[in-house]
Amino acid sequence: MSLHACPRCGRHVFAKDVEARGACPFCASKRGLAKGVFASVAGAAAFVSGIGCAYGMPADRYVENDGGHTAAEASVGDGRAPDGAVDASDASRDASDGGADADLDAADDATDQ
Amino acid sequence: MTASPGSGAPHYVVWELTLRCDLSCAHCGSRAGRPRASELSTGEALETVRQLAAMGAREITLIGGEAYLRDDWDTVARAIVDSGMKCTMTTGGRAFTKERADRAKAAGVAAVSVSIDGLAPAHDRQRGLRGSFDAALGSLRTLREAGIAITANTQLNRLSFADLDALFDLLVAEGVGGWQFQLTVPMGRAAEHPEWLFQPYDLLEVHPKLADIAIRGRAQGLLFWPANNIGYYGPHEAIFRNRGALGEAVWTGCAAGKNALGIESDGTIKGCPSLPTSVYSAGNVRQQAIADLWNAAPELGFMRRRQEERDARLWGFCKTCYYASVCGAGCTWTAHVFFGRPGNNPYCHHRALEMKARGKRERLERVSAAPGAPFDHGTFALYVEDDDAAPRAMGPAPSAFPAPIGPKRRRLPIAGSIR
Repeated sequence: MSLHACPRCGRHVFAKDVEARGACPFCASKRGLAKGVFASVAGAAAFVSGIGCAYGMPADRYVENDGGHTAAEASVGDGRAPDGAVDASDASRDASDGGADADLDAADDATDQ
Repeated sequence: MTASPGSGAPHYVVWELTLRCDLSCAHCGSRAGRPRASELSTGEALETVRQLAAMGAREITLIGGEAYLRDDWDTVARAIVDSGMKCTMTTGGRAFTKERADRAKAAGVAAVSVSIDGLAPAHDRQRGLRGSFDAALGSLRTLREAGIAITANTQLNRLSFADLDALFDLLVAEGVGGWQFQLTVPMGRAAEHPEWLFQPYDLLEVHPKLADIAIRGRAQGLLFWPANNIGYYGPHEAIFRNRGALGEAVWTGCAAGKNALGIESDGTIKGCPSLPTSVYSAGNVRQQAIADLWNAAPELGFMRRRQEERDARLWGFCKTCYYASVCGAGCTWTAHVFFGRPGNNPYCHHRALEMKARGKRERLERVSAAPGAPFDHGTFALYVEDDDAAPRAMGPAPSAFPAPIGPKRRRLPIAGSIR
């Protein structure tokens, strides 16, 4: 099965529907057919499965970006531990509160009423 | 479309190295904080790496909890790299210090994604710790200084949405190369904050904004990366799946157990790390070889079943959807945590558009809370109501959200009432 984007509305349409209806089922456009766009790609488009789970971004899929950084800006981080951060060896980190901020919890309680 | 349960390979693996965490995020699906009772030893972890390499895995992302809180995290990372696979990490960024960044670099970690869920007020609220936004930003800079490629990931919900434009500018300025988005869904602690979740009709506003970000990001070197619960087949599908450009890649169904694999810190294997453990656990690396589980366990092979078998699990709107055969109800995790079973996904742009075309919209309402275990979920009811029902305003504070109201037209069945 092949899916192709309608050049007018952007919705994807099965090639078999393009052939059967002669128009996009979502916007009724015949523009794609008239220009041969649908016809030319019918049956040829690849289905590409991107892995986009909640956590990862495969390393070969992103681009470098220097963001216009200057050396001075880049030095801001300098490996500092954030205020309130704890060391991995701190046994207190096993506490189930996980460092929750009591003030924020209280704010939640208040606003959730 | 007719792959047998035994085919394919886990090209991409997400591995919860420990459940121990230095944050206590209010939306954490695994309710991380304490380590699991029996997490894999170093030897068991290295054996797991060996098996994954033999199976053809290409990339492993280490997560937690917080992966760096395990003493041997970089030993595992180095083993992954030495086995010919890419190693990446995802972190809450509370304390990715220079020492840790240098260890990551030395181990060969290719990239680290730092979770940033809005500007400071929204981020800190979700992360449960004042100052956690500054910490995450500091971690991004520290990692960049160490020479590691940096990316960001953001929970999309009613707290973070208003910050996206400002966050875009910030991430571009910080040199972040990729930005991954995920709709917050009611798993774990997030199930305790239904007021933070988008309603399905909110996607009519959310997805055009994401498309705008994707296009602008590509032009500025910030590559858009949709998580699997962003979609499906709306007018921006091509933009989403082709990283901000027009292309022919489209959503082709949940990748859980098809080319993806999740590992919990005690060795439990799932098709996707986010799936509810109670239903989707295929076994444990301590008892069986991962390849054997991959080839035989139905909990891993459900997306490799024949088309008709996969279609049979669809229900509700998704069963009759135009895209049912290729979409398969989108993200299995998202559907399951709302309704207690897969096959009907309320977070779909196409679905919201179809509803709107009928003068309707869908609204979710929590009917039972989550019991309180890692990767648990509550249950939700879905109502179809007139599209002119009172809207909810997007904004940074739940107190600003009027309660969802509107005429209840029809309640769709939820788990337990349909087989």
